[in-house]
Amino acid sequence: MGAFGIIKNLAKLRLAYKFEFFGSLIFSVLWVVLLAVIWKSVFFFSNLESIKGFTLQDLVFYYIIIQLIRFGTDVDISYRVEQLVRYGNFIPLLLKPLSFPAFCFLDDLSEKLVNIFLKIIPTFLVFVILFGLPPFTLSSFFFGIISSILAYLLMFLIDFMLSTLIFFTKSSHGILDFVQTGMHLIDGILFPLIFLPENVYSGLLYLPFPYLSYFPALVFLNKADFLQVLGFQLGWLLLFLPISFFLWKISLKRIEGVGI
Amino acid sequence: MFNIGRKVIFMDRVILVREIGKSFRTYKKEAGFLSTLKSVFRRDWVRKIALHNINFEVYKGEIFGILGPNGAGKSTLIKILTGILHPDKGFAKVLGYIPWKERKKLSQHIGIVFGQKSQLFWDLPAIDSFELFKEIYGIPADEYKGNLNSMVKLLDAKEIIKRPVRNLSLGERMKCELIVSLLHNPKIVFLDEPTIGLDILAKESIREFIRKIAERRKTTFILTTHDVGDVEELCERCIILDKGLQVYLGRIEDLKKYFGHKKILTIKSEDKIKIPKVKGLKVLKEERYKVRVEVDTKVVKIRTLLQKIFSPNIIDIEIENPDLEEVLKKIYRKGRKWERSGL
Amino acid sequence: MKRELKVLWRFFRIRLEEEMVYRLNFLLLLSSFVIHDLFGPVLTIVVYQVSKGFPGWSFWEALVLQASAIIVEELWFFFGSRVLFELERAIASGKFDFYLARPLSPLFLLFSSSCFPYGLFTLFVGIFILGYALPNLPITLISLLFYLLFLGSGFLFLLSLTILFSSISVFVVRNRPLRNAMFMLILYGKYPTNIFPKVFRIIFTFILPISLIAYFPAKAVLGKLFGVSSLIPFSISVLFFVISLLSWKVAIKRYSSAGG
Repeated sequence: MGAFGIIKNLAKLRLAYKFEFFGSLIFSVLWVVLLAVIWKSVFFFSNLESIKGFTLQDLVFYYIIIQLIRFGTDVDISYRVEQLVRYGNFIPLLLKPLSFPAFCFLDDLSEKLVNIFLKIIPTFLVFVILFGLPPFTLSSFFFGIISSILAYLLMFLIDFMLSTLIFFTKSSHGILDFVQTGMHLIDGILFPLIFLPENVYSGLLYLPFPYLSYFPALVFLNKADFLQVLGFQLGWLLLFLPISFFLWKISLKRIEGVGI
Repeated sequence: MFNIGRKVIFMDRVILVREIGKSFRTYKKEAGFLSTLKSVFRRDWVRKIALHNINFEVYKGEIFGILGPNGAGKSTLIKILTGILHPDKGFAKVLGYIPWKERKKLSQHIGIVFGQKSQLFWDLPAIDSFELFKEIYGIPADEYKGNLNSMVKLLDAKEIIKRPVRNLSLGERMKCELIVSLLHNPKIVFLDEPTIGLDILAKESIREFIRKIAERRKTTFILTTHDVGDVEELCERCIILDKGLQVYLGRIEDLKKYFGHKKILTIKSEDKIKIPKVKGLKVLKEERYKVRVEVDTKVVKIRTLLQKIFSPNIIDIEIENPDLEEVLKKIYRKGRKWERSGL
Repeated sequence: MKRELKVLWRFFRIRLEEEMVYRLNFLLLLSSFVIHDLFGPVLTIVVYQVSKGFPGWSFWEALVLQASAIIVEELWFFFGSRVLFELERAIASGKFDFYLARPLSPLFLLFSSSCFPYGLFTLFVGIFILGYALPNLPITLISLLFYLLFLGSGFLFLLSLTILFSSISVFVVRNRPLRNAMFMLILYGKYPTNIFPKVFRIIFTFILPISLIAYFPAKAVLGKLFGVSSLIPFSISVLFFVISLLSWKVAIKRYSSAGG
């Protein structure tokens, strides 16, 4: 059974939960509407044309795009890792010749592929009906997609690295909830990161988080230099890839040795 | 044990059930995406009769059985008596209360154990659940302590109640469920399949406990069960339901008179077993080295039968009472007749 | 009443014990709730950094609004937030019958058995922010008393909403959409009602009074709500509560007829 076959099976399983997409669609729309209302009143009250390069329209499209990017990049493999902890060396044996991280990746990829049709496209259509078409250009759209794909890979690696902590701390996903919630505070979901004070903003640029959804969104909106963003994303990927590899190797030793 | 019969009028009646009927709407459900979608707009339903014209009485201190196959309406009847459901027609009084109208007041005086579903907190020791129930039922501290200690002693559960419930075996957990249902000294306890899944030793201690409590405290027990052993060892009287109909009401002794004389014999041998043609013998299952037969002991004694089958290489002989399903099947065949005659 | 309080106390201790079994997890989970609470205040701070803020609200006033939202929400988080989830589980497993066979109100048992200890701790986030903002504002004793009254009515509203949704839940069993709706309503209630278009202002004040969550308490403590005008929102919360109790009665009646 090749990788494609596995993806197909996993996708079939996902499709069983056909109606859950409806909930996330409504949630996204209501969230964006709320933020649109908030900023509209703010813009009007302060009589502003734009804030740090964002007009009200820009801002609303920003929120829309970042919601859609989230559907494509939110990763949570911690439950799979928890299963591994619980059933020990059983699972890697079952998956042979596939390695566990590869399996997690295919599993998540299948979810993302299903999401494209079940979440991203319908939600996008609803947003277009409500707010109109975002100001894409052909190149910004294309580059945005690439940036989002890289962001997804980055997100996967980060989540995977954090999940290996589960082996060593013997805790459950509590640690991931914590880190992920913390991330959302500063990853651009609430507001464009550039709205932050100078020094805070420039400090954040040294971290990988802005490249998970904020900069990809800016690329879509033609507000960031694609090549620069690409450079940073590739840089982080090149850094995290060997680290993830290493962490997995020691985790594997731990599973096989201790038998968890 | 007291003799019911003509002495009825002098006993304390705790439960009265007259002409209780209950039916449900069940929705027809089909698989497939199209029918799930269709069900959003229109649902086909069917009326299912759960209980029809149920009549009986229960007296103080009795251990009364409610028997019947799955789907007979036992749980529905229990739910009506405890006030969880209200009937479509009929009348009932439990301890002087109409259950579905005075549910809260009645709850103070009844206990419940629903075999499969636990009332205890899973991760914590049973004693923590007991303390909670003490508050819920408003049990005075000394009464609670005295009650708890005597029951723990009876069940030999001193260590069990200190361990987390999830670490207990089924038998140990059932002991705790029983304790929790009796903490507030209820006058009636409803037990739904209390010995299901238990090994013979656990069943014995549970049964003995129930007997003692009924004796000492004059607590009435209403027991639903599939287990013949439960019925034989605990119940004096019972009601048998089938598909919502009342097919038998009376003493266990009388039930036994009809069917207790039939035994089931399972014989295993190293040789092929030859079954003699004997009157009163019915073959249930026949394999090369194992046979299962039903013996009517009124017609032929087991001893006689074994002499006829005797083979030098018999490995095992097992003698069982006919299980309740067999007994019931026979009752149901007769049951229609009884129902029509208004028994 | 005394019996009920004792029972609530017992449940609280039991739930706390259950959560504390894994200390690290408890702290991590608590921290992620705290961070989640900070989303609103952080957004507010950013808004006031880049503009004049919300019409009719100074920076400190806006923080008081956020703090009030947190306090009311966390009170509900402690007592009521898990009810819908527990109810779904209880009905699906058949254990809901146990609630009905006790000498106490099944609604009360449902609420107290599902109390969520974290709420009592996260409450302090709101109190802390309040303590930070209040000294910058002219507060009188009377307005503080009114504040407490309105915090109470905000909490009462969330309780009523929970009870109303629980009643619906008894019919439908799977209540995820209701839980999501609850979440959304609270989210919208965290921002000043006056930023919404007129139609929604009326709905959020009189029909589905989410303005009770933060808007009215904040107005109260800022001394902008007294006399007759304060009676209206308060009586609405009481009315809503009565309606919710009636709906529960209907739901139970229906359950005892249909068997669940």
